Amino acid sequence: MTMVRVAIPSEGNGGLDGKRAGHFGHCDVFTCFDVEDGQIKGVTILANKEHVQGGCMVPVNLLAEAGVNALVVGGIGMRPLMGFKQVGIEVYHDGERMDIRPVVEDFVAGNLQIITDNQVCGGGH
Amino acid sequence: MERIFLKVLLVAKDITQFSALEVRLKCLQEMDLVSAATGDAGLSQLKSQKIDLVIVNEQLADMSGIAFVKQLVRINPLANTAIVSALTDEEFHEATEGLGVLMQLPPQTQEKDAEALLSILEKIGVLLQPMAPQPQKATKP
Repeated sequence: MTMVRVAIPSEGNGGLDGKRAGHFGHCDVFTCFDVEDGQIKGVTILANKEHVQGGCMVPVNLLAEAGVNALVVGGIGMRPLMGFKQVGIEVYHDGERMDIRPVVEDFVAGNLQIITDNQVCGGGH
Repeated sequence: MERIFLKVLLVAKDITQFSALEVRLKCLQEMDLVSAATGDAGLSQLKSQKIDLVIVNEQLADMSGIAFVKQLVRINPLANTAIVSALTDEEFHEATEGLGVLMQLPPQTQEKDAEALLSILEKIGVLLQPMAPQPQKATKP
């Protein structure tokens, strides 16, 4: 089965026992985990780049270059969401939990939903 | 002169209001400037060509500048945007949150606004360069 690399915007050093960041563009790191056959095969930590006003495509490019296939966010703006769609990264939503591990477990179990347009931040929504 | 390639779309009924910006941007060796008089015409151009920067007036004949950018991000999220607006900083931030707007421009744009825009674009351009390989910390699942 194809391996899927999933990124979670994280605070501090990230990792499965770390905390999620509320705003993906401002996160310290991305906790990336590789899933194959329903199993987590590995976890890597990817440092985020400096956030610049209007620089929404920076993390889009960063994650695309890192081979990420899916992203789980608590919130995201319409422009970066469209950017992720354009580069083929699916964006999932979990707006409740701060801990990374239960969100990862739910992703692996197929319990997370792809974010909808009415769940994006701002822009009149 | 800088060696930067930039394709710029100006969207306004009367683009002479951007003449100060235009003068500065044209100092770039490789700059292609196109214009559209209405929001619909601008969106059509964004569907058919790669645009690096879109500068849009506060109000167009068929929609507001902010409404234009709301449609733009669904068509071409890679295009960077600057909007003319008389809103306060807080109002502008609220109205454009999530749209990834580079900069709010004053109603009377000046050359210094072009300098600020170019500075931001340069910073983003640098940031968009692929990073040198960095060690990744591997941890046990």
